[in-house]
Amino acid sequence: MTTDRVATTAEPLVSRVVASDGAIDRQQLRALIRLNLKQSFRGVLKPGTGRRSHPIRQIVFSMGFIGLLFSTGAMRCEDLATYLVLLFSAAFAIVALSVLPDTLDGRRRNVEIISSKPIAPATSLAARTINLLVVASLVVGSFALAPLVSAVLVFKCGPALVAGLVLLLLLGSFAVVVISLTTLVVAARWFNLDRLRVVAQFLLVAINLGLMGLSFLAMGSLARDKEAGGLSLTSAPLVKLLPSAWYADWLVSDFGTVANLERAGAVLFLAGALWVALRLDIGRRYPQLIDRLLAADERPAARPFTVRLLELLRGLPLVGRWLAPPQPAAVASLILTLTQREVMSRIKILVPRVILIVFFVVSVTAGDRYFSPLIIAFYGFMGMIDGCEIIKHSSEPAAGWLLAAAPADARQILRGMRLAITLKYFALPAVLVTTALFIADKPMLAALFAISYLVEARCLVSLVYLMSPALPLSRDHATARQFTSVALSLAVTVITTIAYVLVSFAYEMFGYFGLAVGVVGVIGLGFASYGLDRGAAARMGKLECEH
Amino acid sequence: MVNGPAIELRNVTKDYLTTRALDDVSLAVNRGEIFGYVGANGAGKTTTIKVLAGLIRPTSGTAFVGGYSVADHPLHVKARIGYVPESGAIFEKLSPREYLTVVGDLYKLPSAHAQKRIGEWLDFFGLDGRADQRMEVFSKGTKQKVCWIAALLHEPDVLILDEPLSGLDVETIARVKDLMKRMVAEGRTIFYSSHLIDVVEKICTGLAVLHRGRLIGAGSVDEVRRQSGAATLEEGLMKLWQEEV
Repeated sequence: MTTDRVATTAEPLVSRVVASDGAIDRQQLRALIRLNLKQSFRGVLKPGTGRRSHPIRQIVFSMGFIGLLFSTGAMRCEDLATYLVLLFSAAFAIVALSVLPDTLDGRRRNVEIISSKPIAPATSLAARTINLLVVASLVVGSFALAPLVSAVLVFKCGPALVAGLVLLLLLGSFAVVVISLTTLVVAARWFNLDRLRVVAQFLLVAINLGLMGLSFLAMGSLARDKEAGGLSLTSAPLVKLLPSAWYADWLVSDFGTVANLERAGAVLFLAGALWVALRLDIGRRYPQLIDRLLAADERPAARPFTVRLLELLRGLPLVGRWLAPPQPAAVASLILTLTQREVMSRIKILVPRVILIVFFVVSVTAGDRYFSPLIIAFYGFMGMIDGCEIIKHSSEPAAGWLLAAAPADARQILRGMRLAITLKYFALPAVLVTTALFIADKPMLAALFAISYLVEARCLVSLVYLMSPALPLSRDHATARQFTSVALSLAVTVITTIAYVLVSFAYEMFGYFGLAVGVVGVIGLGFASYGLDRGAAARMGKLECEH
Repeated sequence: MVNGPAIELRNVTKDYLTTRALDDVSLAVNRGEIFGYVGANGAGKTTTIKVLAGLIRPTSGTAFVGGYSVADHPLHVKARIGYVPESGAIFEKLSPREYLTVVGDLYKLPSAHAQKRIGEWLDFFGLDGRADQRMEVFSKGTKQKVCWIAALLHEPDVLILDEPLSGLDVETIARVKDLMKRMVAEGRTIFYSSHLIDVVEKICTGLAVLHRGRLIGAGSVDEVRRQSGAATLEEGLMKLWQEEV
């Protein structure tokens, strides 16, 4: 039963008393804080998977993992002061790059929802300040937990010192977030804010990767040489210029002039951040900046490199139309353009790609020349399987109806997906593996292995979509299932290693006859790939449009 | 195109887990007709349209478009229809030209012909100056225009439209109505789903009324109005729905 009429009153219910600019309205403040925190941390149902996302859990686990890796570095530090400077610097860098200004959509939504309400600037600034404090505390708290435990174990820190360090970390990270956010927003007077966001996101990934790499190196060197000398920053005066050092040294340094200047710097930094957070109304100070922040980038869109490569492929005489027929080429072009323009997709592939290149360099320069191609092949498979997953996702999954409604059968769509994966996620590993093979083996054998690597990759893509079929770009972004790609890559690499050893041995023993055994194997793999392809297409053809 | 009605539903039922979205719906739409499909929010209009466009399969029953069974010959059907979805969702990070080029390739249009048609339709909808901008900066109405072009690019025999005027400005609405009339005069069929009764009343020849997944009235606009005994179609539909409740 629905209500026919809702009673209205002659006088509006809303209070006509609008708070003055300097006063904070508590009711509005509570409402804004609730809204901000729910927007930041409430899980949402993902349309593609039907699963609920858990932002808090995600932050705690991801930051906790990085912190855990960082904590191993405690044993490489000569003294507590050095360890704390490193900890505070890493924490401040991570928090500054994790808490970024809203996207264009978010900024517009805020203007539509918040700025249209009678909220005094002081109230919205206070709400924003509390929100930043909570977010910064969550990020830094998750990151710093393991390193602080490590500090207790390695440097025998007492509970009072640990409590003091936690407080300093929270206050310092809050100040850093306020200053970095404000700097980014003011920098938007000259630069595109969304591009600055992208740069910051890539920097964060680079820092995380760097921390992981350094931790592994530190563990490796500790395992090799337990007596190796530790790192000490006590004799590096430039370090004292870092705000992170001011907070890190607060409880562990003496009361000399330098140490007291550092403490004064920390207090001023925090006071400055508080003033900025509670008093600096950027919208009022720079009215044109708001217009700029809400303006969309209307420049013509440039075609990504991979799409130009695809067009080059299509234009090849005789083979172009065979390699990239119109429908698969259209699907591939769509995938390549969108995955290039979506930051999420670009960041997701960054880690496997960096690892691949690092291992290629290490393998070729210092590794065993016979196993180098296999290690690179493993990382190549892993990146490719991640690519298979990435192209299922998009920030506009509802637009996936286009491919479901088009008169293209599932095999053509699958072919398009494979084409995109080959160009974007497999071309680099294929080149690196082929190079490594030709360094390690005789040309004929290397050529055979290179071809078998391509056929194997084809098999693997079909297998992935047979196991988990999905239309391209039809699902909301989700956390990558790293375990699947690692397990599958490992299994395929083990099989590849056995085949590699057997064929190499057969070639050594029987010459071209041994090579022929390998050729038969590759032909068999080709048939397997065809079968898997048909199976994957059949499963994909049964999918319904989820949106 | 095979002889018979342009669109036909035979005892179509669609269940989503515990909800029955369509309940034994049967109807036929003749060629060269603008057929209105009306109902309140959640009546099952979009589900019907998704079944016709081959996006989802009915739990039971059969849908035909141009005489082809959608389940048995999905590619034949999809090649003949143009579809404007209710969501108006498009890949906004593409420019209209990029998006429509992909659409042209998916419908296997010759490249030169597709580019010519894209240029003509962009011009028709007043988007020629914005063809290379990313669509994320477009308003809802402008994105809807791109959806319309995507549906028209391959010159379909049957247009399946789900709330197609949503977000469009007055001038574009007038142009689109005129376009629909021309298409029908050329023998094409339009299946027009909407809850805007006044528009349906003005442009549609045939009509079906859906309520909670069941068909509760069908015929010409005048027949449905007479069936309810009301002066206007809007009042008539309200009466029909209330009788059902």
